[in-house]
Amino acid sequence: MEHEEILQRLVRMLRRRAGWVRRRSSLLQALFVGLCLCLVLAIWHRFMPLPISRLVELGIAAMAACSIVALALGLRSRADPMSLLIRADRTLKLRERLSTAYELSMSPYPHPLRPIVLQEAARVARSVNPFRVIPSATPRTLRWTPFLLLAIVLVLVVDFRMFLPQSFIGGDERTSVTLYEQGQQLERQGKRLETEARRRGLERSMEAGRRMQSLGQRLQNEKVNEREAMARVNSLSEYVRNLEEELKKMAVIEDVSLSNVREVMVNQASVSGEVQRLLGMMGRGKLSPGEMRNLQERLQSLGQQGVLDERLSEALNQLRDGDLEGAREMLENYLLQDQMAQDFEHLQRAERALDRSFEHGHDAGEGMDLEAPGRDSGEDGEYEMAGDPREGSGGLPDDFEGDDYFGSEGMGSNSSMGAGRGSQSEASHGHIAEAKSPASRITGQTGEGGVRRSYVRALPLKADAAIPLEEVITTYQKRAEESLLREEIPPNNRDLVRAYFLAIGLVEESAGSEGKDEQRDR
Amino acid sequence: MSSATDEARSAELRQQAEGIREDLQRLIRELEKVIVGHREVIEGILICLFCGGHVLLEGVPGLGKTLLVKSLGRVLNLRFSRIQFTPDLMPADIIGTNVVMEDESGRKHFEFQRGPIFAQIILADEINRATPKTQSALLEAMQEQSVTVAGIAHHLEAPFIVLATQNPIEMEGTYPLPEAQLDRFFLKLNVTYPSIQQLEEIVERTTQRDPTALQNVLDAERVGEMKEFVRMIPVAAHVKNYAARLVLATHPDSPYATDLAKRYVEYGSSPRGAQSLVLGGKMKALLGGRYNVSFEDLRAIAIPSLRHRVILNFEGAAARIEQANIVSEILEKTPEVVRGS
Repeated sequence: MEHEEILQRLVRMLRRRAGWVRRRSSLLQALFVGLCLCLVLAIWHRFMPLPISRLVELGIAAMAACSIVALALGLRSRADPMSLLIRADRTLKLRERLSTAYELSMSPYPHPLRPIVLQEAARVARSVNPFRVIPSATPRTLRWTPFLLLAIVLVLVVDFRMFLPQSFIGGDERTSVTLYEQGQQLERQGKRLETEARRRGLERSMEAGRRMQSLGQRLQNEKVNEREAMARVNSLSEYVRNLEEELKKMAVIEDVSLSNVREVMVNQASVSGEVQRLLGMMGRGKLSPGEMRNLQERLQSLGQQGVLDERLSEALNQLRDGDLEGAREMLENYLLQDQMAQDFEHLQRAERALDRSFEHGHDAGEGMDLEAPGRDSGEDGEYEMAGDPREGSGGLPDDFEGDDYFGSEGMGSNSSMGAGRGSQSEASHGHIAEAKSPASRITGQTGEGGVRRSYVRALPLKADAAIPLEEVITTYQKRAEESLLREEIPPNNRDLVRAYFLAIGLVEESAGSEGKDEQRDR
Repeated sequence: MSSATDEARSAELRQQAEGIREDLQRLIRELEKVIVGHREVIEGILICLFCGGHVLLEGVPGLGKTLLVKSLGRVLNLRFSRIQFTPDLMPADIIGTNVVMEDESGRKHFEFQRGPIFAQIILADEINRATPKTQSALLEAMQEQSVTVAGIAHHLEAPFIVLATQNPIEMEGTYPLPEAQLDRFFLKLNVTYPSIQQLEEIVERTTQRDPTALQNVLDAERVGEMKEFVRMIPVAAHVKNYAARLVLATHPDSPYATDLAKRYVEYGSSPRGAQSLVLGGKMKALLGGRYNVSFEDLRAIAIPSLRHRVILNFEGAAARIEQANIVSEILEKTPEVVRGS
C-alpha cells in the first residue's frame, strides 16, 4: 500500500510538472502566433494605414487573446499518468518499472507479482526527478521569432514601393499615417480650443476651434501619397516650430512646446483677465476708498508691465477723477476690442497655416500654382508675426463664414499680430497694406559675410510681440536660406519662401515707399 | 492485514525469484566450464528451455554445438538424445516404430519401440540433411510434446526441448527446413567462430588430461517451477503493443512494415513470433534481475525470435538479404511508444 502511495505521489508530481510545462509551452506558442498576427497587422498597415497607437493596441490585443486562449487550453488538458510514467521510464532508463507497476496497481485483476513489482517501482520512484523527466523545452517554432520580429520591423520601416515598378504601384493614394496623426493632433487642439473658448465665452475662438477640428478631420481623411503627405507635414511642422521659436523670443512663453504655444494663444489672459477682474470689482456697486485705490494701483501696474494703452490710460484718469462708470465703460470697450482682436488672430493663424498645409498637399503636383498670390505669399512666409506685405495676406479661406469680421469695428492694428504696423484704418478694412507702412531698419549678420542691413515693414505690434522683428528677422532669413540650400523646402515652395523674405526685407522691390536696401549679403 | 499479507507475499516471491536467478547463474557458470564464450547462445538455450521452446542452432561444424547440448543435459540431469539427421533417415528412426514381438508362449504382438525422440533434450544434428518427411516427424513432437504412432499418442516427458543444428555452408544435398517447421523453433541462434582468446581457452580446456567434470545443477522439477515463474512476469500494455508492432512490421503489406520488409519479404512472422518475443522478454528480464519486461528485453530477443520467421521473396533470396538485417531495420524504425497505443 505504501509502495502504491509512493507511485501515486510520483504521478501527481509528474502531472503537475507536465501541466506547468505544457502551459508554458502553449503560452510561448501563443505569443509566437500573436507575433504572426502582428506581422499580418503590419502588412495590413502598409496597405491600409492605421495610427501607430492603434496598431500597437491591436498587436497587444492579438497577443493577449492568443495568450488567454493558450492558457485556457493548457488548463483544460491534463496529461495521462501512464504516458508520464512511460516517459519517466524512458528518460531515466528505468526499464518500464514504473509504467508496469502503475498498470498493475490500476488493474482490477490480481497479479501474483504485483507486490514485488510495486516494491521495485517504489524503490526507483524515490529517485525520479520531475525536472529531469519533463524539462521545460522551448518550442522549436520560437526559433523563427527573431526573423518574425525583423520582418515586422522591415514591413513597418521599409518603403517597399521604391523596389516596385511605378506601374505596379499605380495611383495608390492612401492616407498617410503621419498626416493622420497630425490631423488627430490638430483635431484635439481644436477641441481644446473650443472647450476653452466656450468656457471663457469667446465665440470667435470657438469658431476657430471648430474650424481646426474640421481641418484636422479633413487632414485625417486626406488621400495623398507619401511624399506629398510628408511635404505637407513638414511644412506644418516647420511653421509650428518657427511659431514656437518666435513666441519664445517674444517672451510670451517659456516653454516652447506646441501645446503651450496654443495655450497662450487661447488664454491671452494676462491683460484681459486683469481687466476683467477690475470690471468685476467695479460691478459690485459703490466702492470704498481703499477699493478705489486698489483699482487704481492695479490699473497702474498694467502700465508698469508695458501694456497700458490709451484706452487704459483714459480709464485710469477717469478712475482718478472718480468717474467709476466712465472707467468701467472704457474698460469694457477695451476688453471687447481686445477679445475680438484675439479671436480674429486665433482664427486667422490657425486657418491660414493649416489650410495652406492642405493646399500644399493638393497642389504640390501642380507646381504650387496658387490662385491667390497674395495669400499664398503670406502663408508660405511662415512668419505671420512679422506681418504680411501683400494685400489680402492673412485672410481667411473663401469658405470661412466669418470673413465679414474683418470689416468690423475695432479690428485695429494694435490688436492684430498679423496685421503689421499699418494704420488703424487700413487694418480695420481687413487689408493689411504693409507696403504703405513705415519700414524699420534692421541690422544683423546672416552668414559669413559682413553686416547686413535691411528695411522691413509690417513689424509686429507691441501688444503681441515683446521682441521687435528687427532682432529676429536676420535669424529667420538665415534659417530660410539654409533651408533653401539644404533643400529641406520642396522646390515648389522655395520661391514662396524667398518671395516672403523679399517682401518683408526688400522694400524697394515690393513697394519702394520708404526703406531702402543698403546692403545685402547673399 | 492486507498490507502485511502483501509484504509477506512480496518477500516470498522475491525469495523465489532470487532463487531462480541464482540457479540460472549457477547453470550458466556450469555450462561455461565447458563452453568457452557463446554467452548469448547459452542464454538463448536457457531462455528456450524455461519458456518451453526449441532452438535452431546454426553454425559451422566444430564450434561446440553438440558439446553445449550434451553439457546442458548433464547439468540439468535430463535425459539427452542425439539424432544425426541424414538423407536416408526415416521418421520411424526418430519417433520409433511398432515391432512384432513374440512372448514366451509364442504369441506375437506389436510393441512400440521408442525412438530417440523420447528424451528430454534432443539434439537434432544437421537437421537440414534429412528429407522434409523426416523433418516433419519432429513437428508434432515439438508442438504437442507427443508423438502418435499407429493411432496411439505417446506423450513426451517434460521438460522437452529440441536443439536442432544446421550447417549454413554445406547446402548441397540438404533440404531447407519448411516454414512450418521453422516457425516452431522458439529462437534461431547463430553459433559464431570464437575469438583468439576464446580459442586459446578452448585449446587449454580440451587438451587437458582430465576433462572438466560437470555438476548437476537443476532437475526437471525445478525447471518446471522456473518455467511457471517466468510466465508470471508481467508485461505492460505498451510493451506488448511494441512487440505486436515489431511482428506486424515483418509483414510486407502491414502499415508498420519497413522498406526492407516491403521489398524483400514474402511472408512475415506468425503470431508465434510475438509469443516468442514476449516470453523471451520475460526470461531476459528475469536474467537481468527484474520483474517486468522492458523494451530493451524485447529488442534483445527480437532478432533470434523473428529472423527465422521472416520468409524472403525471390528478390530477397536472390540478393542474399539477411533476415537479421530486416529485423534490425524494423527495430531501428519502429518507435517504442506511439500516441494512443
